[in-house]
Amino acid sequence: MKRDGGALGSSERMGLLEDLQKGNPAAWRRMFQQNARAVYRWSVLLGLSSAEAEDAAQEVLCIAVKKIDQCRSDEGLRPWLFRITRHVAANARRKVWFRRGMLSDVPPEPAFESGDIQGREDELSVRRCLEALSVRHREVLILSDVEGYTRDEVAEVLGIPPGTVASRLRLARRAFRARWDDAWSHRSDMKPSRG
Amino acid sequence: MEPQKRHEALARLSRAGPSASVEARIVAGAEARLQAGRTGRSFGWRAAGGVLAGLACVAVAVWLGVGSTARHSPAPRWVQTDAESARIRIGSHRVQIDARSKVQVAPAPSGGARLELAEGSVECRVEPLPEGATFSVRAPQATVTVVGTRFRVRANGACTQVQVSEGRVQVAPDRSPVRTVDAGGSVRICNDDDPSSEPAPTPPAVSEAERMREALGKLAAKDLEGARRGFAAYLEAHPEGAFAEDALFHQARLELSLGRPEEARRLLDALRNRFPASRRVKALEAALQN
Repeated sequence: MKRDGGALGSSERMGLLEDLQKGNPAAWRRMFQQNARAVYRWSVLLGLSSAEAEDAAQEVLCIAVKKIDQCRSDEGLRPWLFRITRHVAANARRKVWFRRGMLSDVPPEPAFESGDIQGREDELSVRRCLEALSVRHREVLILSDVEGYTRDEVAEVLGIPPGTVASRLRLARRAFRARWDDAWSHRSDMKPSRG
Repeated sequence: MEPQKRHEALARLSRAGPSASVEARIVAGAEARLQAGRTGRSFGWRAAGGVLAGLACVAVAVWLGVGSTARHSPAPRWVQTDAESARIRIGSHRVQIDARSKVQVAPAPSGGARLELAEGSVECRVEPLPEGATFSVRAPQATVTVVGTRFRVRANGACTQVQVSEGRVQVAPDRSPVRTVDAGGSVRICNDDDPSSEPAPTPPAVSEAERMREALGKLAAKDLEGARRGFAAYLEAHPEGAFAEDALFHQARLELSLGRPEEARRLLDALRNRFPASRRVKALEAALQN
């Protein structure tokens, strides 16, 4: 089940896509407003800091404008945006590699809006665990367990066979679980149980 | 931790996103960049048409013996921000247009750009320019031309202030000689044209960026007291500096770590007053609550 309006090829998106390809400014504004949040979220989960993710989100939206003709009408806008985001995020990661190396001891700051401390702690825990995964594993985990796409949909977004998605997802979940349990086992005030 | 909690934490992120102000900034920035660059599906066709028209012009010019090639410059566009700042890219250069600012952006075909600042302020990060290219900001009282740098121009009615963070810029006041401002320096040009009202550029002993880099380096090396002193020195030397938000935040975190919560609260108040939309206000509040 998809979350946050991430349906593939819904009629609403098809209508929006037509308007976008016609260059309708109001449609573009609507598209920015509908997708800025998701693109920012993906950028953060793909390993960028909040400031980098903000830049990346703008970059993704602008690339989308330039390349909207490449978005096929039967494909859906959101998965196409994810593909752009993974490229932009990969470029951004390369650019900040040196700086990250120098400041690697500085703990990550919360990048998402959260009303409570628990939410912020969960966010940071998930991001730390994701950072330990390879990019391939991270991508399938984000699309599957965060965004709620099915195996076939993830395969379509990433352009890989469904069997490969299943295999990567299994390994990604295992690695994520190991990191998560390890992180929680270091908390003296809690008694973790293996998942 | 139970597996269910792990899945819940992941699934909960499906609704996660930036604060409303950051989201608005992303949308505004994307729109501003579109205004500054190009939009629409027909761009490719327009570009192709422009290229053909350009080739035709060149051919006619050569045929007529003009001997020069006309180059197409994108039409300048006005970008105006309201309560939120916006960031745009002009080629590889980055420009932050602060809140309540109005600027005309005209990318130059050779890789440079020309900005005309009507009001407010802009901060520019200019990548190395190809030979012959210029990046300039025209403010009401002066024109600032880049020699390769990062700088801020603020237009405030009767005065224009230029503050250089890295590199060097050339400032050409309308009614006084051209001057060069180095990193860490600033210059103020006012309408009254009285040289005495224009303070000389501050000496570039230690640049703003160097101070900040030094403090961050100490932070990375876990020299907390040294880093705290570094951020404090930065704020004292550059109270309106480009990294003031970062310096306030880091100094407050360090004061807290060093057992001085009252000082951290004072810095939080300063951060809140100066940068009310900063996401770091919430982060600091949370740290202080803990």
